[in-house]
Order: sequence, then structure tokens, then C-alpha cells
Amino acid sequence: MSDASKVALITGATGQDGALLAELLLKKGYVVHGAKRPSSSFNTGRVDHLYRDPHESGVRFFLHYCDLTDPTNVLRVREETQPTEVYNLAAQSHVLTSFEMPEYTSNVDGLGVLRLLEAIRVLKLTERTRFYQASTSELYGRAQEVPQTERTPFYPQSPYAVAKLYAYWITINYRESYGLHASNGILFNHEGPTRGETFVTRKITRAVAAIENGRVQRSISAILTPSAIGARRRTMLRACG
Amino acid sequence: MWLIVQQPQPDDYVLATGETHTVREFVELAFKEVGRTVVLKGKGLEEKGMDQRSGEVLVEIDARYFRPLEVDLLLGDPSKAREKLGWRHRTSFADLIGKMARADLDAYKRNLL
Repeated sequence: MSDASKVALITGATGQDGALLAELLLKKGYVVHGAKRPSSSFNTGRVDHLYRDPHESGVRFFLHYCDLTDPTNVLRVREETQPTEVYNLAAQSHVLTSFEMPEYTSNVDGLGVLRLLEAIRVLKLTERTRFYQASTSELYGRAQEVPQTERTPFYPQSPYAVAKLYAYWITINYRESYGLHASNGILFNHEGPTRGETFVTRKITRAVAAIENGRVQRSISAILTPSAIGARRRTMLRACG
Repeated sequence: MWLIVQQPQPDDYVLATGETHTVREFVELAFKEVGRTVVLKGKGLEEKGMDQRSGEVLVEIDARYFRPLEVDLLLGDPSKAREKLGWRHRTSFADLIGKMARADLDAYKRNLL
């Protein structure tokens, strides 16, 4: 049953985490608004099973075009959807790509968070909105201690992590400045069957399937990252949930 | 994520398993899923993973994927999330790899990959 008091806006709704969260919240009775960037090709494969024609009755899952680099767009989506909970899972989340696109990564992953928070503040909705920011273990970078806790100092080692550091602190700043219910989840590696195909774990399991089906006769060089097999003890994978 | 947002007070939490695994382990377990044992030969960039039975090269290294800077040992302590949220991870490392490998094998059979 739908509970009109629970409305979620999920940015990055077509990603691994966004799609799983949308499914979870729909099961809990939420109305779920998913935000996705426009694309000329289909990119909704992870949420297609949740989507129904909005003309039908009782529909609780909606998709909206939203790009965190576009401030008025962010403001309008926030205003139109009136969420009680905002989950910011949108990001240029590929660490290696962030070295090639540092400014874009900073804009989306850093300033994009500010735009979402400002939309809440400008619309005077700080008291009736809760905010979740997808923070990352990449913040620890050159790790200052092992294991890492909420009190371990950050030392980001990529444009991605530096942008996420801004995002982490601006979330706390809005919490402390305006009393917004805003929290960071600092997630370590979390993998699954819907992990993006450019990430190492998914490259490996796809390669296993390709080799087993004879699609690739010999090596899978360049499919795997060096850390896939090199002596990069530092790289690790971790299951979550 | 949902649990964090439902708390009376906003706060920041580490979500992790408290375990650490190498990509090498991931490779070994993923190929084990289809009954193949990976044997490593060579050093540095020349290191390769061969199928123990057929000698087929299964994995290689490609320097194009090196990052200008790499992170150190990341190992999260999920104590706070466990105590305050009652959250803990439920899927083991081996089960996760099994699920991922089987999903991709299945997708291949259905011509989806």
C-alpha cells in the first residue's frame, strides 16, 4: 500500500545502488522518484522491471531527467517531486575516469551535492526533508590508519575522492548550519551482479562467462585491470549487504 | 542507507564487512565457479594466470588501467553501524562471487551479454 507521507527522490536511480534502493523503498510502500541523466540510448536496464506506464493507476515509481551539473534542473525536480527523503547516489564514480575528467567529476560529485542541498534550503524544506549522501572509502586514500573508522582522517588520492571529500563536508555543513537531517554513508566496495561493466569485479565475472562460452579463445588481456592479478595487495574487494 | 535516514539524529557511518580481499582472490574464486584452477606465472607486468589443465591464458595485466595514484589498504571498521543501526553484511565474499559469476553465465546463455 502506498503511504503518501513517504516520498523518496533517488539520484543515480539507474545505477547499481539506485536501482536496488528503489526496489527496497517501493517494497516499503514509498512513492519513488528516480532521477537519471538523459541519454540517446537506453540506460534503464536496472530499473525496467520496476517501471510501469505512469498513465496506469497506483503507479509509485517515476523517472525524471536530472543532471546535477544543471542547477535550475535540480531545483525544479526537487520542487516537483516534493520528497521527504533524498538519496544522492548520482556520481561520476569511476576513479580512473576521474583522472581523465577531473573538472566534470568535481562538478557532478562535489558541486552537484551542493546544488541538491541548496534546492532543499532555497525551497525552505530543511525541516521536512532528510538527506543521504553516498560517501566512499576512497576518502581514506593514503590510509592514515587500519582499519578505518568514522574518526579516521581522510587523505583522498584521486579527483574523484577529492570531489567526494567536498561532498562529505558540505553535507555536514548543511546539517550543522541549517539543522538539516543530512547523513553520510561511507561505503567500502560493494559489488553484485548489476555492478557496472567497467568495474574490475564485473569485468572478471563477465570474462569467466565469455571464456566458458568460447567467445574469447585465449587471453582476456585489457579486459582485466592490472590489479586483477598483479601484486596489488592494496586493492581489495568487499561484499556489502 | 535507508536505516541511516530513519535514525532520529543524522550522523555518518562506515558500512563495510571488516574483511579485505585481493583481486587475485576474486579471480581465483570466479574461475573456480566454472571448475577452472588459475595458476600464476611470471612477474610484474608479465604475470599471467593460466588454466591449470589446458594452459590457456585466462588473465593478463594491462598497464593502461593503472591509476596515477593508488589507494592504500582500505579496510573498514563497521562497529558503529553495527551498534547504532544493527546493520551487518549478510553475503560472504565467496557467495558474492558465485552470484555474480552465475548471473553472467546465465546472461550469456540467454544471449544478453
